Amino acid sequence: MSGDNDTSLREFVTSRLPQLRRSAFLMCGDWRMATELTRATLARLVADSRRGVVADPDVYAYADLMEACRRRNRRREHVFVASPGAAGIEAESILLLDALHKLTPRCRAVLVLRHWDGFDADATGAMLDLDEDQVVAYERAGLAALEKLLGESEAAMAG
Amino acid sequence: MNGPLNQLLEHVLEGEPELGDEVDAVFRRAARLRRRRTQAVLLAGAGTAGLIVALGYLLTATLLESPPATISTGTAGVVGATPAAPSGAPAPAPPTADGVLEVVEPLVKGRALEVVPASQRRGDGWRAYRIADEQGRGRGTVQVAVFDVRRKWCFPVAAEPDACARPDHVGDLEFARYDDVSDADRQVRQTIARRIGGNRALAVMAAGERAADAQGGKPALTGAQVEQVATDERVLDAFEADENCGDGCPAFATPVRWFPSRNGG
Repeated sequence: MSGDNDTSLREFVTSRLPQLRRSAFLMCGDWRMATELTRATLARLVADSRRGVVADPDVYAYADLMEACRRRNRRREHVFVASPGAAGIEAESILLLDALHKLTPRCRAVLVLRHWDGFDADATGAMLDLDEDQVVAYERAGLAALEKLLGESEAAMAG
Repeated sequence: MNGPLNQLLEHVLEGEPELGDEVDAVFRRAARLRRRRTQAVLLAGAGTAGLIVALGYLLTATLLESPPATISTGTAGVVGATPAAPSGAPAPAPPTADGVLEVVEPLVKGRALEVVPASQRRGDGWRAYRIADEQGRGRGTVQVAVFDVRRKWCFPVAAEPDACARPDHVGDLEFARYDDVSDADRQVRQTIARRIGGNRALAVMAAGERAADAQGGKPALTGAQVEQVATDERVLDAFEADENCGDGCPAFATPVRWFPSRNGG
């Protein structure tokens, strides 16, 4: 993608924006914040692509977005913030978001990139500045923790 | 977990808001970001240029304000910025302290006269000053010179070339006065002095302005004052140890080197 090709840039942004925003939401639990972070990430991507300093736009976009979410997550107060005017979500989804947000940011990012965005361990490592073994270890630990947390939550609800 | 994680996550995303014109918002934000970056680069460039200019100015100002190096120091020191004059050639006196003038000037002022500003001349082993009255009329010159006279030298006698004058003494100095008032239009008062047994003779002469009138022909200093200058230790000390009135030295009514064969000068 060349820096002066606005058409291809627009196509890229149009195609990636929905998925990026969903990933951001899974990371931060707030649609408005997810929208803002995604917009900022893609704006930086567009500006830097025009300067010709972006090698892989997907890696750039997800790496930037995950880092932005990690920084924003420190100030997060609620597990889930619905979008204005939208209906709420099911209790199970709340529990899943809650369990997801009890994981460390890096562990959560690995699960989102691997299981939601479908990147392989190598691409995930490139986005999070981890080697492949670290990605696998984070993924394994994250899934185990998530299963345990969800089990505890379901047991509590059943009880 | 009931089912793969990605399927569970799909339910979490229910209630996703519409995108609207989010793509355009991304490009508008990218344009703002680009403008901010451009401004930042320009500001940084301007700041750097300003810093370079300021540093250049400070450096230049510092270098220009540095005083010129002094070639020699002391009462007869010559400032490095002044072109070097040939030995004995007349040259304007520098604005530095002049030990001879410090002795001469009060005596001149005591007679309601003054050393003409910027009239001071100097060379290797000699100093000369033009004197004027309060109306600015010339009253002649006062000149002071130091000579290397060796050991065989004796005080000259104006009327007897082969004779030696018997000097008077004051302190550790010996001196002889050579006043000549035979020409009323240009009277001369001169004293030659030296430290007893020393090898340097100091001549001080005050001569009136020629062809003015009787008043103008009188020297600016009396004979006693000329003697006072010649026997003032400060005057002899005002000359550097290696100074010797040589070529270009002003003439004295009674030459110090009277007879080289006798006086050894």
